[in-house]
Amino acid sequence: MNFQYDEDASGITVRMTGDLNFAANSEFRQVLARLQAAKGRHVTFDLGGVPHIDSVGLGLLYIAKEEISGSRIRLKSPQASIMKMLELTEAEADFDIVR
Amino acid sequence: MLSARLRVLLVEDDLVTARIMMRTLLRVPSPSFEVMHEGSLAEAVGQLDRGERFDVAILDLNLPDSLGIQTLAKLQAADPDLPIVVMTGDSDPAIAELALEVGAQDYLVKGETGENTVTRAIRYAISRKHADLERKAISDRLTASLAAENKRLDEENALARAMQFDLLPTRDRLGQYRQSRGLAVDYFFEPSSEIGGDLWGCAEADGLRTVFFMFDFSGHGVGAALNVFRLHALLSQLGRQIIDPAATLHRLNETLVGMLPRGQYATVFLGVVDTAAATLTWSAGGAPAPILFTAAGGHKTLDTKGKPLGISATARYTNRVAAFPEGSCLFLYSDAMTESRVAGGTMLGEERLASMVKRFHAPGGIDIEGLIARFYDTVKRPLDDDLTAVSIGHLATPVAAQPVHSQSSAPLLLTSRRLEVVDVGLAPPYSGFIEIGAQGVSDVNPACLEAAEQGGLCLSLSVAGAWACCAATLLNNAVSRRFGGNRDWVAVEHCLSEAITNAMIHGGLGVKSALRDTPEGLTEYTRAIQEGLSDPARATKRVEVTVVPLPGDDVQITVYDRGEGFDFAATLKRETVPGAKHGRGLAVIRKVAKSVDSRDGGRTLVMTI
Repeated sequence: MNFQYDEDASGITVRMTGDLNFAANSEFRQVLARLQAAKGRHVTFDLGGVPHIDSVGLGLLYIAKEEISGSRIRLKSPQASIMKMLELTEAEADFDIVR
Repeated sequence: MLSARLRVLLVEDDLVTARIMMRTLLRVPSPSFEVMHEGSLAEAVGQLDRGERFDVAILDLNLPDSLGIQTLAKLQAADPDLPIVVMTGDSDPAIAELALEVGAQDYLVKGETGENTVTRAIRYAISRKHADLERKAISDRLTASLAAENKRLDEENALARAMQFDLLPTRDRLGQYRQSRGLAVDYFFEPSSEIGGDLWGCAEADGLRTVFFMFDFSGHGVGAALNVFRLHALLSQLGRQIIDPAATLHRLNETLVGMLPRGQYATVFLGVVDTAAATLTWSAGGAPAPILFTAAGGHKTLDTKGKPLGISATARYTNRVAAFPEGSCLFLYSDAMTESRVAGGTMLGEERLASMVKRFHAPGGIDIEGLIARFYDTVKRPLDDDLTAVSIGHLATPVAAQPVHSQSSAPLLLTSRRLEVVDVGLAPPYSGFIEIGAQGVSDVNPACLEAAEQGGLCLSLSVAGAWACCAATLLNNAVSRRFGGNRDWVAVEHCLSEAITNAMIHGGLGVKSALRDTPEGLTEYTRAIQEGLSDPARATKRVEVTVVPLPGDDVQITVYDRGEGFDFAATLKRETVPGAKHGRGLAVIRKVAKSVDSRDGGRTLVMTI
């Protein structure tokens, strides 16, 4: 799992590559630390480079959401399998999904 | 030598001519003639049919019951051994020539029948007929003995062919290589209509080294076949000692140079596969370049430059080495494969052969049967050369035979290390991968073997193994490759991933998801997983998965763990808390699977998709 950050005045975009799954949680902690520093700005997770997500990986997104308390997270360019997971778990209610 | 008394059959309807001829003949003092006169062909044939025998016939071609050249044919038919002198009128010399061509021995022209002329004609006709008969007898005897000789040669060829087949390694022996050497060997061999000079074979060297050779003698027929036997005998003598292919070729060449007639030689490939060191060492003399496949399907052709055996006493051979790790495969073939003609008349060639073989390649082997069928569809038949194709796949580090394995007709890959070959076990010819754990394979769930027997896939790994190789991803790829069909692949992917993750983290390592509710908890959760993976008691617990195709497009996925179990019914009933950071796995499965059920107190999850 790799993370790249694009930051500007309007917010921060986290571009992920690799599977977001059970094995990703230790790496994800650095993302959380980064988001702490960017508190109050728009956060976008670019999922275009993520082929697979499981429920543990989805749980990580919820942790991130709680960490930045309140402001909504945008999930960008999810692939088909990930879109399916988001639909199944009704994640549209909690995240702004941009295809 | 003519006998002193000759019987003459005179066939002449004109009484004046007949009487002149009889008088002439009776005047000859030696030999003395006894004449039987007949005025029609039917009467003459009647004499012969009654068994009368004559030394010669004097035949007028124009008789009341037969005219022209066919008169001659009819009399010949009545007695093929009878010498015949034809009488013609001087008006038609051409008919006399024709009569000689179709089998009369001589001719007389009416009116030129003096004693000497007639006697000479009769003598000549008799001796010429005898000579003809003798020649015919000799030629009949020759034909008969040639036919007998040909038959004997055919029988010997058939025997030599059968003996050549007997030189090939038996399927039984090759089958044992799977267990004893971790090699899957399959081959096709068909000599062309004649016996030819091709052969391949193998020998067990020391340790886990296996020798493979292929050679092709110049020419066809018995000579080439004899050379095949010579070289096979030499190689068999060396057998177990062959660990240095170049040195072996050097010795073989020295022997063959003295043994082979000039102009006869053999192209050769001699390779030693060392399954323990995962290497292939080879030396060659101008053999068709074998193709080496990696597990991932990449390929290269091996360098086989070198002097063929038997040409030059000073030939030098070199060893070459390539990595031959688990999943690799070596493809050997005879030049008939590249030199056979395709539609349009061009030869198939190395490149087209390589891409054809690639289509029948899977990690650890080539589907030889499928390849040969495709090859025969592509090239013009019959082939005019021997056809040999051999696939040598490196399966896995051999392990001692396990009882649990030997009962299964669907082969499973067992290995105690090298998780990178999990993929090999999940692809044909295997039906699954079983990690040999602390207790060997005695603790493998029998359901794994049953699934393999039913045409499904199985995977039995330690938690640490499953974690390290991303079992769900490997299985997901293997399932779609193997079963195909119009299945809900996204659902299969999610079910495998959720159920295997649960089995590893909760069932195997005993880590609770609730930890993940806060960032601090996430740190704790990660630490708990790391701790579990380094605790042998937990890390070696098995996580097992079976995937069995069901009628229609459904599949049944079953995931087994060795944990404490959980209350399936209660968990299923519990609604996911909105925004929750855990507790979605089973909910996802319930939504995408057609059915989901639990057995064994929550340790077994059965999903139909």
